[in-house]
Amino acid sequence: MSWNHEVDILMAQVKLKHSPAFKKLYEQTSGKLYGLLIKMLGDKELAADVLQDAYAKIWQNAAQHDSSMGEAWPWLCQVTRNTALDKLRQVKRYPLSLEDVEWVEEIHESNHLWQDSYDMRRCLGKLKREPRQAIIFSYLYGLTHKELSEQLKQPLGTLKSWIRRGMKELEACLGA
Amino acid sequence: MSGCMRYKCKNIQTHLAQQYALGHLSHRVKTRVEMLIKHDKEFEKVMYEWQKHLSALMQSVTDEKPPEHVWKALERQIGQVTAPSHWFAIIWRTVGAVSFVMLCAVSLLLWQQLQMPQVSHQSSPSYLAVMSAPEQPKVIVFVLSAYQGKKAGQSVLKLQWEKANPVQDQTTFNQDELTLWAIERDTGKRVEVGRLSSLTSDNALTKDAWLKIKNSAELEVSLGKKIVYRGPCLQLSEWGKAS
Repeated sequence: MSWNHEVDILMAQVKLKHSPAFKKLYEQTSGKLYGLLIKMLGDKELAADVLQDAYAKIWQNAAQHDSSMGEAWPWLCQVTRNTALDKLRQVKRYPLSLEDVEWVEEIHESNHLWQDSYDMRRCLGKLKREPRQAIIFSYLYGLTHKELSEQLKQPLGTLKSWIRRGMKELEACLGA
Repeated sequence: MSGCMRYKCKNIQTHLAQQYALGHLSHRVKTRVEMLIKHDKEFEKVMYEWQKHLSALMQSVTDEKPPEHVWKALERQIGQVTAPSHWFAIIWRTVGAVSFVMLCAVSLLLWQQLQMPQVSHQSSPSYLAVMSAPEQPKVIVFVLSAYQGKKAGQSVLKLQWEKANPVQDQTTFNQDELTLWAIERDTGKRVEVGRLSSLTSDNALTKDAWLKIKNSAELEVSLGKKIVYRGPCLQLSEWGKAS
């Protein structure tokens, strides 16, 4: 059974308010999501608070996930990111040090866990460096257009246009 | 084009889904999009697709062990939501002294409940099978949960349709014509458990049906000779202490 499928099954049980399954889901997924929150929020304590809020929402709103539409893992990521983005609107962001994530070098076809994401990584690898960075930094660090513009030292309009164009190219590549 | 119609446009839906998944929408627009997708399955589908695409970026995130106190706090939160004793406490605190008539009524209700088949923990099934159609194994159609009773002949089987599943899936087959089968864990032998509709009605399972489910590695549902749903049968009683 793949990791994603295991998460799907646990979510099906969480929808039934099965608390041991929720614990298992937490054990399986919280490490990755906590890692993401540390990146987004830049502070471990704040990230832990947001992680708790995110899982409370996951428990309460599990029924909103529609398994016929898609897997549970992306939904868990979205709930967690939304919770972090809401928090970032309330608190002052810690200074970030952005690591340049080079996706092309990180493609490991043998990694079965992430085989489903191969297409996306391949398509990201085809983008120009600037739009790729803007998209990755938006997702992993939760940067707003304005923050991206400051971090990447580019005018706001240019930034928005990079992202819009980058997403269009991704769409075309993924649909091809 | 009216505001509402504009959101039916595929390009706009895709743009909004991308920006939502990236986190670039203002709080107001984000809330509006969340409301729109509740009423537009096509839009929701686009949203799920982009969430999935972008979640591939999570591969670069290093796992970090969350502090112990996070789970402990969550456990407390969940306990407050699910523990029946919490609701009883609220009732007792707010109602205060109860009249003799009310006590009689409660006693009568409790007595009636004692006459019904006893399920050890309604919220903790002992066995659970997540059922999917063979041609779409990743799409959960319904969940079968087996609850062990306190005595033999008091166990029950519950069927819960996936809430988000299209209604037609629930009516595709006449449930009275569906048969539940168990694949024995040790031998791989396929044994008939019974009619799905009668097994999942409020009647308690027979000892024989319970044992077949208990000893199964997988459950299957057939219409005539064709298997229409199947799913691995998972033992949960160790987690839930249901048995």
